[in-house]
Amino acid sequence: MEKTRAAQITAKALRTRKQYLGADSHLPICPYVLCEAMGFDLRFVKINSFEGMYVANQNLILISAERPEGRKRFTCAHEIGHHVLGHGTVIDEILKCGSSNIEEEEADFFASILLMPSSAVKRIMLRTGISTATISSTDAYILSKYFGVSYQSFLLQLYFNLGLISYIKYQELKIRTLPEIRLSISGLKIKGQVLSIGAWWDEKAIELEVGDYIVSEKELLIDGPKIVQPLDDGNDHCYLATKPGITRVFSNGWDCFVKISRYKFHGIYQFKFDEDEE
Amino acid sequence: MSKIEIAKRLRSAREMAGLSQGQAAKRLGLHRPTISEIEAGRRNIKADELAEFANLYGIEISWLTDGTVNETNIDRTILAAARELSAMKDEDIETLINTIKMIKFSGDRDGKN
Repeated sequence: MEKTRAAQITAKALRTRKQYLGADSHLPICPYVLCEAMGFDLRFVKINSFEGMYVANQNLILISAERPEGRKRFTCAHEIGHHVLGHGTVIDEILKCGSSNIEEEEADFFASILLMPSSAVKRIMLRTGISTATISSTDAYILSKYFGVSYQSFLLQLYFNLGLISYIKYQELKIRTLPEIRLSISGLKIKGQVLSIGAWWDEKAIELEVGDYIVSEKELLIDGPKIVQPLDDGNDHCYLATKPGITRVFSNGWDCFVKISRYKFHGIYQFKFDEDEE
Repeated sequence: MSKIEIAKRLRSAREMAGLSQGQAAKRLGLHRPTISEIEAGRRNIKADELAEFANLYGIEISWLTDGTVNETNIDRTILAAARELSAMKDEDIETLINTIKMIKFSGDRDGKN
């Protein structure tokens, strides 16, 4: 992509966040909330063999419910990109990598900037004390979950779009596998996401699916429905998301909302965090 | 319009919206058994109730009443785009197109917040 085009798309992504969410570029955003603010009908559908779709004349965005959470958020941001960049109706298939299509490349770049603007990445690295020279796979995974994207998207953003890490560093981090990273953070062999949080996690809710974990520096108290539960196997400050709903966690001076959805929720976005009713 | 067919479509529309019977009942201010009676085809449903269901599930009311949708709803380019997709399974393309057809085009729906 040409530099001038990249600069144009960057400006459009940042303007979209600011216009609809009032979000400055040093903060992370949720692409689903942005969709809602932009007046889109956002739905997660049980269709396995595609990623997502933007239907221009119906103000509709469909996302496959079957993908991992980070991937779904990136796809959602990508579909918003098709809208903002005026691409018209597009269906996005799986395996977009290596796609030579210019619209796809532009929508991916838009999504990366929308979810991980340069100043937000730099700010959170300062706040967590993680430096680009010494960033580990664990650090990168933790930050990727703060931005709500996949580990690989975050690395690509650090290396390719923002130029914050070297090619050697990128290669070194890229080959690490998710099970080993999740094990090193939580001490558990798990399939769900692990969100490692601390007092630096601010300005955004912790969003989980049932079966995901939170690992915290300090003990968390729960104010609201008991839908996250501490593990009782002696694992310090590790919590499992057990039921859908919205609650709040806190530890001295810090607090945060926790929003939990069903595993692979399909349906209308506005119902995503509804509590179970008997 | 057949009561049992409407009942079946109400159930699939609710499932597609991602709501359990209990959750749908709560949002519509009904008791859960009312929803299960309706979806079993054992209770008559009034026109205004049908409109409320369509509104909550964000689908065309004509799809609930007689299973039809306005074909002009669907952008021809979607069909063309879908058919060109090599990586998508045929049955998934069908599901995708039917889903888009059912969905009501509306900027704002009550019952969602």
